[in-house]
Amino acid sequence: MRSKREETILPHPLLIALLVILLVIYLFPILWMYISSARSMSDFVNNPLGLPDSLHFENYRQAFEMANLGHHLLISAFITIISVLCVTVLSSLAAYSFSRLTYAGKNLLYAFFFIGLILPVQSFLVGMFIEFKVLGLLNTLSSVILPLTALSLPLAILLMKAYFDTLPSSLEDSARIEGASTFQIFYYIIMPISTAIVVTVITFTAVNVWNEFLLPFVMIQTENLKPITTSLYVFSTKHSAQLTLKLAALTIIATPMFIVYFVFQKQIQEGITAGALKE
Amino acid sequence: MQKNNWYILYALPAVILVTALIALPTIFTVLFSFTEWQRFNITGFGTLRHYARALKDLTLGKAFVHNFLYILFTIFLEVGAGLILAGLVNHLKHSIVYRGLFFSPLILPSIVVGVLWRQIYAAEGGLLNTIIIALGGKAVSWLDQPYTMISVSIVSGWLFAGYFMTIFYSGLSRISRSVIESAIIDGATPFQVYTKIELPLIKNLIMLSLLIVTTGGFKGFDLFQIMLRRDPMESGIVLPTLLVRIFFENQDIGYGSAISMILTAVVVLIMVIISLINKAVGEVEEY
Repeated sequence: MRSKREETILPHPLLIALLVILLVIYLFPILWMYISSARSMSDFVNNPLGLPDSLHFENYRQAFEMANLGHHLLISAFITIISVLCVTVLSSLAAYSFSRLTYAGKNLLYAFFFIGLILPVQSFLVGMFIEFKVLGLLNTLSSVILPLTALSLPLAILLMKAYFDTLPSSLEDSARIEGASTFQIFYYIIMPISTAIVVTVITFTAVNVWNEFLLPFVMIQTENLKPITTSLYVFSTKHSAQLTLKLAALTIIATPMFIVYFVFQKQIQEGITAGALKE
Repeated sequence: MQKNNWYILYALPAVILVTALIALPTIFTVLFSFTEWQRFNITGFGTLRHYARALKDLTLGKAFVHNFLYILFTIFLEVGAGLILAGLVNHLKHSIVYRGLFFSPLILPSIVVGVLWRQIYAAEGGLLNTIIIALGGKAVSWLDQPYTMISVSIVSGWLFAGYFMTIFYSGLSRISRSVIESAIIDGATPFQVYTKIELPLIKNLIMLSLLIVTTGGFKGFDLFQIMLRRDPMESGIVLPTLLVRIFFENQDIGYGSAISMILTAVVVLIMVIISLINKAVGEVEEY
């Protein structure tokens, strides 16, 4: 029996050295963003590759105010919370019915959700824009929340159903004998033991909705209603020359994302790659 | 299993949302592509004019070429790099640390990635040119022709190499230990084990990745819009940015819808072709 080490593609010390070098190169853009965001403009222009002469933490405050980040972060948070809430409730209800209940047309409805996984947003963007224009929803937060919820549902339903399918039916049988209703079984028995999948669905839906660029870019032109992604786009085009402030704004947005990622790494990786693996 | 047709109510809210926001708008877009428009007013129906116009549109042709280049580059920079990275950490203890870090750029919103890399590629004062000049080279306009597509593709590779690494790693970790151990006893080197035994076993995942990259290559909008902005020279125009330009800047709904449908047809066609190839390859191997 050989030790586990020798099965790696390169000898151990060499492999670790190679991986560390690769990672330093790979993550250098992010490191550079953090370093440069704390430099003064003149210092940065002199040598974009250098270290700060002194730390200019006032960059962050200035970027925060200039880009009105507080306001746009709140809008993003509102959009994300409402969308995630809707996706979690609607997808768990639908997945429960697909997995544990029987009714006419069930398989057809389940198959219907796959069109949402196959069609690119571009297939219905024009139709959706006109639909929203007619309904008077353009330039409202609904014009982003509604499509983001609908777009997140198919994958969330797929993941939830796959999870519910693994739960033993004996769980419900005894509850049913004691007179529990279908909804009570869903709410008091199925959901409490499914927190793992619910956390996965919540985290990756939240990340996707928070990061969304195309929909608010198309639907929301009112400056005040823009989420953080499209408001930063406007900020970066307006203040092209304020390089260090721009990088400071990016740093402010990136840092909480990294924290969320390192806390929920497993769920986020699972959610983001599940779209591919379940197809 | 309980049977009661009223249970459909559990699925109904989700069905209604997907119908109203995905299915119906898709049908509208199909109809719009055969409709005559005066800005936002319908003036006639049943025209093939928009599709005829698409056939002669040089910018559309340019966008197609760019999309194909993007797909070609990202197959190497995303899937190829993902295979190499997965191979490097395969069978490595604590590989989760490396996988987690290579995956981490994907967590960033595209606006952060796009603005950051625009700054890295900037012709004057950009990080890349600063390094090149320090090494004695000449500054290059990375976001202009002929470098535009490779520059954007590199950012895409930077984002997604860790994603494909994670997909391949999850496949590799499911391969039974006995297969690998017997190969090692037979004297195979770890490199031979990876390329000759393990990679063929995750062939399905590699095919799936090619499918994701090829169809994804026609959907990418954010990086192109954020890094190239209005792109007046059209040096990096692709189908999704062309669509947004035609629809939202020129307010040409009919033609925009036709471009939508062409894009949809291409994506669906690629899915069908790749799944047919996958099936054919699978059948050959059964003999």
